[in-house]
Amino acid sequence: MTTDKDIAQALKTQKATPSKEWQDATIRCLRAVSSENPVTESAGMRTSLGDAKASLASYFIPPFTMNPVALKTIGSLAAVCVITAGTHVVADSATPENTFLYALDRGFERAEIALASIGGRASAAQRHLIHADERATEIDVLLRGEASASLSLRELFIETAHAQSVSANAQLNTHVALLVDDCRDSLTKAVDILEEIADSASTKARAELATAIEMTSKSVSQRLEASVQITTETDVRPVVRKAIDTAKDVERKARRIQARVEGEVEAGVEAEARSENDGADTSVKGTTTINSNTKGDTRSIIDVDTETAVETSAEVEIDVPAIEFDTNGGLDLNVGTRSKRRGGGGSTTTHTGTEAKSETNASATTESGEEDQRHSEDEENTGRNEDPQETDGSIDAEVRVDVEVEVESSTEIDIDTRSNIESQIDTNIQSDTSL
Amino acid sequence: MAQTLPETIASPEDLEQLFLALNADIFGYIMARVRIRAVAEDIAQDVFIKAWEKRHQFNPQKGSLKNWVYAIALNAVRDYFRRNTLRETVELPDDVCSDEDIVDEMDTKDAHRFILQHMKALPPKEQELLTLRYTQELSLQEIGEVMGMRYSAVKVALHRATKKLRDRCNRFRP
Repeated sequence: MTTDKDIAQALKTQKATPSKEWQDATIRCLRAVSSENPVTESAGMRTSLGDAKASLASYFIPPFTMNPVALKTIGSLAAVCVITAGTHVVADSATPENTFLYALDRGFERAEIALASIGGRASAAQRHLIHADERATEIDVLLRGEASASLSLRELFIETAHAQSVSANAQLNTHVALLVDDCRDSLTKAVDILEEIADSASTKARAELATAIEMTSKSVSQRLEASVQITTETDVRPVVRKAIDTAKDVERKARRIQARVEGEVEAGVEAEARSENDGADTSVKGTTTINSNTKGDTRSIIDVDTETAVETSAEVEIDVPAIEFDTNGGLDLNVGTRSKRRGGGGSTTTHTGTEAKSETNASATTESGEEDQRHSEDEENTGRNEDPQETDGSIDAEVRVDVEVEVESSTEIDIDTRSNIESQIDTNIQSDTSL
Repeated sequence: MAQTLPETIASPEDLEQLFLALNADIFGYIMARVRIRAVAEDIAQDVFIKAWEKRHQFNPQKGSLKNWVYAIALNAVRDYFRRNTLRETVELPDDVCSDEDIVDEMDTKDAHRFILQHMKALPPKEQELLTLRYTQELSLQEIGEVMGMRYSAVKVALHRATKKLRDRCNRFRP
């Protein structure tokens, strides 16, 4: 059985000692080598300089040891990142004139879209919009450059230069056409994505994307319009017009979708409010006491105390049907009550009672000259007419109570509101006594 | 004759002093690894020449001069094995085994030879660790400086190498 001790012993025994001959020969060799290459002053200075650099660096960078493999890996990754980022920055501003860089730029853009797709379709659409914007910028750059170049060449009137300019213009047309196609493609893809996510994405996300598409399309069309105005190369204009038309078309589509989304939002809010109202107690409790002393044609001011418990705040209008009732004194009252409440959002529970209790003492002079006093007491619930009582005279009264209650409420908090309402009641009493 | 190590190699005298102080250790390590005396002598000589040539790269703050020279020897042996990958390793010559430290008894000698034979099957790094620890009797700290490893890493690696060699010897034991 081999043990650790055996291993140590075995390894220790293999230690060899050098021969005397080898030692002497090596010393001679080393003397020869060292005498040929003595320590020079410059070497000493280099050493001192290296030491000074190391000590200076140690003030800022703490000395640490790291696994060489890890260090190499990190260094390689950092180098790759720096090179990639640098290439991206350089390629980002490239136009089709720089074929290689432009191809790189497009490659990076495709990678960006692929990465953005991980975050959702809306992110990819946003990325398409950015690229469309870039294409518009590049078209603008090309057209502006072309405008200045052709102007200078035309001024020269040199045949060769003119031929070069023709060739350059043909190339420019090709490049612009390429950019226009890309720009249109990006815009169309963005709006297509917006339509595709109509069922899956939230209204907020769709609204945001629609706004972004609308703004970008508008910006692109405006900038391209400006570029077309500037350029003197008429061949390019129809090509750029295509992009402008597409941008405007996309803008219209986005606006339409945005309107649709807004409609959905409003419908949702209404539906929510309706559902809350349906579940709420909307009974109205209140006590309305009308004391009216009437003699002949009377204009009475009636104090109406309404105790209203309100738990809401949507604007509600309650129209109480007109009530007609006859008193024993012949009083007909038409009571129309309209209650309006305003306040902040929340569920709606209205306790408003319109319970009219009227006591009327009316005295009228009849044709027969008799003076009749009537005392009538009438108690009436809303929506219910009591049977007309016998009366000697008839009084038609119209009572209109406008109740306007300002309610400050917060959600799900009951607020008792006591409001004093002054109502003017025009009462027309026609004495039609037939005793 | 025990020689003291110079602090740096600033002159030919320092180099000679360094050689006298370390030649046995360096030669012993190289011999333990390559097991061919002539090769070990060449490599050892090259190590000291290289130490002279690279003397400006030595930084006393990073470690001792002894460990620096050991690191040169380590790399020299690695280079040798890299150049001679396909070359078959020669058995340990008898003159090494007949060293005065080696036990005379035949059974023990066979057992040691058996262990050394199986050590050749280990990865080079583990062979280096075992040689530096048991043959050269360096401390774990010194091994760390020579091999560019942390103390804990040396400890773990050495433990694993020893265990692997032990298991291998027990498995193939006749």
